[in-house]
Parts: sequence; C-alpha cells; structure tokens
Amino acid sequence: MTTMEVLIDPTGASERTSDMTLSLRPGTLAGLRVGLLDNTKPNATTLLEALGDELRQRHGIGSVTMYTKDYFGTPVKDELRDEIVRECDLVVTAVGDCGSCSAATVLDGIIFERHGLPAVSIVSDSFLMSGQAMASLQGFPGYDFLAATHPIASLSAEELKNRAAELMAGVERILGAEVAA
Amino acid sequence: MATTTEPEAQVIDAALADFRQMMASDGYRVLWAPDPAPAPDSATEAGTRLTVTIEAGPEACADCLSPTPVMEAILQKQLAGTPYTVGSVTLPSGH
Repeated sequence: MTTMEVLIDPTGASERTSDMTLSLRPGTLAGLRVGLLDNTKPNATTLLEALGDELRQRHGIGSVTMYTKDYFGTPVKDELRDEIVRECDLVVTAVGDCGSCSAATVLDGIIFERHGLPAVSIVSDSFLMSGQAMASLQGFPGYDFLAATHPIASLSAEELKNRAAELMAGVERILGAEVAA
Repeated sequence: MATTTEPEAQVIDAALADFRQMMASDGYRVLWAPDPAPAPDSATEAGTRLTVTIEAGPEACADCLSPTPVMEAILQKQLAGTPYTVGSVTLPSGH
C-alpha cells in the first residue's frame, strides 16, 4: 500500500504575504489566556513556564496552557496553530537556539500575528541573524522578537527564572502591555 | 580561474565573521571561494560572485542547519556594502 507523507517547507513559503500588520494589542493582559508554544529544544519548557509565572505575577493573566510542536525546525502545523488561535488570546513561543529552530520560532510568531494572535518569539542572541533573515523572507523585515543571551540549553532552573525575568520588559513591549505602576 | 588577493579575502572574511560564528554554534564551518567565472549573460564582474560551502564538523547538529534560503538571505545581507555577492551555497552531504 502506498502512503503519503506530508512535507513541511521549513521556510514557510506557503505563509508568505506582504502583510506586515501586527494583530490588535489588548492593552491590559489581566484575565487573558496565554499559550506557551514549546518547540522541544532543551530548556524551552522550563523557560516558558518561568515566563508564564512572570506573566501571572505581573499581569494577573487568566490562564496558561502549554502546547508542544512535534519538530523544532519547521513552522507550527496548521492544526496546532488553529487550536492555539481558538483557545488563547496571546502566545509566547520558544526557544530558537539553533539555525533552523530560530528561523522557525520567528516564523511561528509571524504566523500567529497574521492569524490575529499577538505573539512573542524568543531566540538566543547567537541566532538573531537567522530569525531576522526569516522575517525578511516572510516580507516582515521589521518583525520584533526577543533575543535572549546564549546559551539557553545549559542553564539551571534558577538561571532560567532569571533569564525569564530579564525577558519580561521585551515581552511587555511586544505585547503592548500596560505595566502596573 | 578566479582568485582573490589577500586584502580582498580579508574583506570577505570580515563580512562573513558573524555568519561564521552563528554557524559554528551549530557545529558547522563556512568556507568560500570565488566563482570561476560569471554566467555568460551576467553583468557580475568575474571573481565577485562567491561559492559558499558549509561543512559539518564532528559535533554538528544535523537538524539545526538553517534552511538554505535563510542562509542565502543572511549572506546577502552580510556581503552588502562589499563588491561580493553569493553565487551558490553548498550544503554538507545529506542536506
């Protein structure tokens, strides 16, 4: 019997448009449903959980749900994208700490923005170029994403908490979040 | 056969330094050589088009290599402001 395997283009060619419009920002994050998209790279889960904790403490978000990609080097599959768009008000995706996964992480953020969901993509600063190149290929050269200090994979849980705290100002900037005085 | 002078090589190496560093983080080496000759219908000056070769080191992460269009976009950006352009990118076998 012949079976067909679906191939996913790592450059996201099917997603390319000239749309450089960000989705509508919510203003306040209080009560919102946050999706965390784990790309399965080492420490992605722990970093995202720490970011979820920060968002809870600083903004009183409503819920946090972790989602997991099945492969870090390609864009989020349509089914998972639709699930997140349906169930969340914003999404944080991490972590791009290699060439392919940093490009895919930035592409995921652009995909969510184009489907109406504010998104924060996090890569390590060693792979900033890969993320920027992907954004340019997507027709979104100024797409704003976060570059965390490299490395991520070797950090302890405590160090990841600190890294998450360092990233929060950027998360709030990208989401256009009001910060409590 | 096209060749580059030492100062020309220094310009190219300087332009590609950040790319090299990024690729090294995934265990890859970046080599370059001038294309032997421009295409017959090309206005590109001989020797200004580069063939970039990506070599896998012993610790290379096979799944971590950026997609070729992403690498080409990075290389074009890094070489902007120099007389050089990317002619082709050759990946390690198996990619």
